[in-house]
Amino acid sequence: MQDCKPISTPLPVNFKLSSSMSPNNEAERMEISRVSYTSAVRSLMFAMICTRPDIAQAVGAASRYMANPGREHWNTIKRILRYIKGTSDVALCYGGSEFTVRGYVDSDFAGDLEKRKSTTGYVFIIAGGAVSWVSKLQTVVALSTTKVEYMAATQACKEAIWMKKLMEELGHKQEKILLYCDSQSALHIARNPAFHSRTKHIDVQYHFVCEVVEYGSVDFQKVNTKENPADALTKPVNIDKYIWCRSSYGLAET
Amino acid sequence: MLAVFKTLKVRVELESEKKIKYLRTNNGGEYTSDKFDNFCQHEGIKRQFTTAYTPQQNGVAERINRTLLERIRAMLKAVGLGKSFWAEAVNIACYVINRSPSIAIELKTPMEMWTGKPADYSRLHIFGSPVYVMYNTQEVSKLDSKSRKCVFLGYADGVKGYRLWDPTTHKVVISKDVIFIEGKMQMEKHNSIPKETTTVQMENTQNHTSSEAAPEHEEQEQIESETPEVRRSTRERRPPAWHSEYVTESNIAYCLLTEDGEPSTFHEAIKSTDVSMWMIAMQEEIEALHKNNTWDLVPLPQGRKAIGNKWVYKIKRDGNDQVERYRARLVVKGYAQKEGIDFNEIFSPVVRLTTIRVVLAMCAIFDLHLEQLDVKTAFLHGELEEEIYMLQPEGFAETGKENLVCKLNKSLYGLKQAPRCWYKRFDSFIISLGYNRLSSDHCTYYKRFEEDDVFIILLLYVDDMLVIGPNKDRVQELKAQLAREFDMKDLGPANKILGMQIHRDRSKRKIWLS
Repeated sequence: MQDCKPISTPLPVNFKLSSSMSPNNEAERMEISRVSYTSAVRSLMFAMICTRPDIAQAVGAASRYMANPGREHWNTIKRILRYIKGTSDVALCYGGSEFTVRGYVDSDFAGDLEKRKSTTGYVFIIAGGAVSWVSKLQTVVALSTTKVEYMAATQACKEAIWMKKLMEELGHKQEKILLYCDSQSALHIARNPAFHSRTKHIDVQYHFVCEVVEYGSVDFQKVNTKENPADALTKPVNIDKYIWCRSSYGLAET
Repeated sequence: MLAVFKTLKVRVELESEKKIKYLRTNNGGEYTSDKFDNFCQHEGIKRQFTTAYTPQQNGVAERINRTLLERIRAMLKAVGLGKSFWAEAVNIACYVINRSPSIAIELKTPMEMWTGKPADYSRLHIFGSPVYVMYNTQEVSKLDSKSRKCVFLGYADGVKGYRLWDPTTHKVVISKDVIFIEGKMQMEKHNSIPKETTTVQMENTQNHTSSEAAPEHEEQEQIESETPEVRRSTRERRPPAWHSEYVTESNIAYCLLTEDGEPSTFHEAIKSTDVSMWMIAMQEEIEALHKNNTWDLVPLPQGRKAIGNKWVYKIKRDGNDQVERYRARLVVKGYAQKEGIDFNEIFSPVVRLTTIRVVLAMCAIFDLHLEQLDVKTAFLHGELEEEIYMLQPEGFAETGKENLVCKLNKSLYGLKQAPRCWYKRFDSFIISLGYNRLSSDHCTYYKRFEEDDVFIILLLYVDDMLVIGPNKDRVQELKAQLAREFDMKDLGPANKILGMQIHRDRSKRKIWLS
């Protein structure tokens, strides 16, 4: 991998992994057992958790097949490594004058081919650099895009409340944490918890968002999908968008 | 060559119960004779010759030749034997390769693949090591010396014995009654070099053994040449790269057990060449533990079990890979601890990475001082809540009190609750200094100094800490307070935490994290 050619994005647009790519006979399994898939994922995971929100989605996708990786999965890992090679000099950069938290949340409806689960993605930005990010498969299967966005918003709200508390304890009280979401319907439900028959199935725990919004600790705002940096945490996006997202995380070349 | 091939063919076909179908060779005259061709035709063996000057078409055989050659060169050089011993070296190199695990066959050994039984290492010895050979009873009278010193060359073919070089008579002897003295080899390497013989080695071998050295080497080539029926045997011979180090290293047995010359047990340490250094290191550690009042010697109460311990050895190297110091650490076998008796709670919090990043962002914007500290032997500071009994450290049992055990007062490395003890100890200390533990992150502490309107934030990650504050004096004051209580190492302005590089540009008020 030392001499590999760098590449501009970790995953191609609309690229999806599935367990059908896992080996189904002994020979293929033997072949893949020669490479250390798990340790490669582990190394990538470490980089992702420390300073690389940009590969969160790709690593998350690849790590779902740790138990039974196939050749296609290994190629994905190699592609991520090529991307890392091309961008090994980027670093999270904090600076500026404003010490406030902004959060962005997004989701990908039923992006997982196996169980049709959806992906939550959110990122919190302070001083021009990302401080907290998540790209995670939701635990339950959601039935509508609204519900998916809403569940993602719940996760983000929990983190927002924690951030608010941390900032307060560090002596920088912030009245409201701005949380940007690109789903109009989720916003509507959050702001106005009208009991609509189509949202009945949304579990009680997700009404947590309503309470938080009502209480005023989180301020939900609409943002256009094009201007939502959390987009890249939920699905592979095209190069232009990807580069834009990366710079919004504060990842810049040193 | 044809004769050799014939014997080999019979043997291979008998052992593998498969027929040789292809024979891949180069265009050497020994392979292209009419006789050879006729034989192959008669047996139905297809010939595959390489194109002229294209040895890579016979890659498997050529590669093993290089591997063997590289090894024998190193082996001969390492023990100072003359070039005339090349045939012996080839044999033993082949012997070792056949018994070394290989990546290509999933870390099994070629022997195992070929015979189905795991390889036997009991006869493994170092090429060229000095060895004492017993004389036969007929050879000597009562008062003669019973053995003579020889050099180990390899394994005899057909009989259970070793091939040994007698430097005084310039002959190869085969014997079973030998004593190896491999341990002394490294030291004696330079003064016990056998004189290079002028007689041709091959003649001697023929006189004394049934097999001839040279044909055996060619047999290697032959085995490599068969494809695809016996391809398995050809792949087996590819040794993993790391293994070649073990062969050239003169002390094989030692190297199989450790990495970088660090012993893995007390037993190995006192047998290693650096025994004095390790003893000093262990002595230091024991003294430090005594000074710290880590344990009291008591008789073991009934119904309790003492936990074992072991030494862990590490050679500390500086940036230039030079040995800095030898370090020995006593660790408890924590896995032997029983829940409810030896430990209750073992959870210990660490700081969230998000908190670190938030605080670094804060640093960048408000241009704060950012310093890093490290607690030396952090876990030894922890106070134990449970009663734990430990056996006395290996090799350092106090004389006259061998039947007593250590009742631990302070925590030790390896104990399940060691991180928790340390955290609690630090927590209570820092709170006594007037710091607040944040409820949002229990490893972050905050203190506000009302009189000069400054604050200090402290982040704790097990034994690494970051101290952040706008006022340099206040930071220094905290550092001094910590140093009085614990054994601290001041790392100055932080540049690396948890594998993340911190790069700062204070004039631009920016921090890069990568």
